[in-house]
Amino acid sequence: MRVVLNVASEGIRSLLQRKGLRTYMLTCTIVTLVLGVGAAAARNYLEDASDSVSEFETQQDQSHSSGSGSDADTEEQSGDGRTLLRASQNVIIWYLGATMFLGIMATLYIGATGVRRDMGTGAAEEAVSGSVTRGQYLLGKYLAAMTVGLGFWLLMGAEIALFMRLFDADGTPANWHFQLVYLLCVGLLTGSMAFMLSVYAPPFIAGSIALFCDGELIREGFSDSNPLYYLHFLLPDGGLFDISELNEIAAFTQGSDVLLRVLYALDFAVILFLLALLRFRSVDFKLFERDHEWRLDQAPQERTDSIPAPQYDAASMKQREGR
Amino acid sequence: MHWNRSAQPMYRRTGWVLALILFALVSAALHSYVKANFAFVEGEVDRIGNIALGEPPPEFSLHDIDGKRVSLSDLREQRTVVLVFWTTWCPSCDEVLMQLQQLSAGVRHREVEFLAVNVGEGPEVVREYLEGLSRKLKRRFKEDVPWDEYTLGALMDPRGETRERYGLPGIPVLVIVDADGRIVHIESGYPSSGRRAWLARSEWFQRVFEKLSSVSEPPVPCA
Repeated sequence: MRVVLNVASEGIRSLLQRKGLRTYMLTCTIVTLVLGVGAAAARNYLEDASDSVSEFETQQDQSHSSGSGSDADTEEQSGDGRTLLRASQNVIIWYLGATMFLGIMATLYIGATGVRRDMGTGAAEEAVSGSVTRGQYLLGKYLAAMTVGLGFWLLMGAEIALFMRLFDADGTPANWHFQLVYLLCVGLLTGSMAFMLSVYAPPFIAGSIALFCDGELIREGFSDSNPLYYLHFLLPDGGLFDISELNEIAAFTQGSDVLLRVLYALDFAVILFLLALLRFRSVDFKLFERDHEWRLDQAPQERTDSIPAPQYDAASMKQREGR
Repeated sequence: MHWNRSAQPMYRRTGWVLALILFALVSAALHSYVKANFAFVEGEVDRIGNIALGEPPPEFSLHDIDGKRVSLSDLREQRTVVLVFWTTWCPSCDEVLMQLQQLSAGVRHREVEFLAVNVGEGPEVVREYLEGLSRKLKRRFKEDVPWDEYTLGALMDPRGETRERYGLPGIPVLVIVDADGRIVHIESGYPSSGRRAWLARSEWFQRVFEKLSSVSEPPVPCA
């Protein structure tokens, strides 16, 4: 276990040393903060406007019942009020969608390059030729990728939770309480899918496929008379954790439901890891030399952000323990 | 007891295989349960939660908003029953209730009973909400039409026990029970967002209206 943790800690350090990833995470945090402030202001403005229109409508109704006023004007205002209210509700959906998209992109990148980059640079081959088994190495790398990915989701989720309080969003209170847990589940599923696929395919392809590997897409895209519909049982279902959809359908959420959903996400994560292990335990690292060449073609500053292959033999471990 | 060293890898492998089989079984059970209970499919469905087409709906006896007790079995005799589960915090339930009002006007010459079951709330909250809905309907339909005010009664399921018995993962859900006491139509959710929501809503209305017209009978004239 100590070996796995060592690989994981080295993996986390290696991921956090990537300048591109650090910049992306920082940019996302700032962008979502700005988006949140803007969305909160827009929502307040639209709600105030809708209230004004409603007041106007009430006045028109009263004047209409006393014999004055124009029907055409009132109808038009009534339509405007509804449109404004709907637009204010849509602001939340846009904000959530934009934030989740940015988060998913980071998770896909981290998942798809978590171990694949080391397979390409030869670091993985070097590491498993020592005292570390392939299983331990892959588990360590997986834990590292998930720790960094979910850490980022935690930050984004905290921002969303903060702005949802400001929005005073409609919907079941229970769903909003559990939204951070749901976001972490989305991050875990997306990251695990990208990680698993990256062992089989190049990172870009793995990330692209992982983005669309969603049972919900299949479930809603095909009717149950189509055999393809039943594929959704084999893929993780993002709809179970989609907070805007859960509120849209007014889903009832209790603690036990959330626990079962979390277990579902964890179970899928284990399955995806086992699928990755199936390939990794017997893979020939020579196959990834092309990745290695691709890496060497990169600009020097990009190459240096990858740390040298860590050693997990007894001496190195003792040295680390001493630290 | 001493293990035979050469036999150890075989036992270990068997152990792993058994563990994998156990894991696969637990996973299959968990995934099936989660999908069946939490995945909310929108539109006309054959089954949702504990109810399915062709089966009798679970029985219930609830108070209406004025405190009068209403049982499903009492209403069902010789009548088609439309059940809608809703709450005041559900984003699309006001539209569903307004559609229900319109539907009741459309099939008023037939033997149809409409029951709007509110889940998890008290009569005061519901009464206030329905008054607001009436104002909304009056604003929307300026003409003197039968659906320009909300007049349908509401049943109270304050602890959500009936909703749990039906196993509904979300709301609104509309269920039509024919005069024989069998479920003949289930509508899960309501199209409230998206570019083509207006089209989906009119389709929703059309489906429910057609089904109601086909399963309900005109009232028997008095002899």
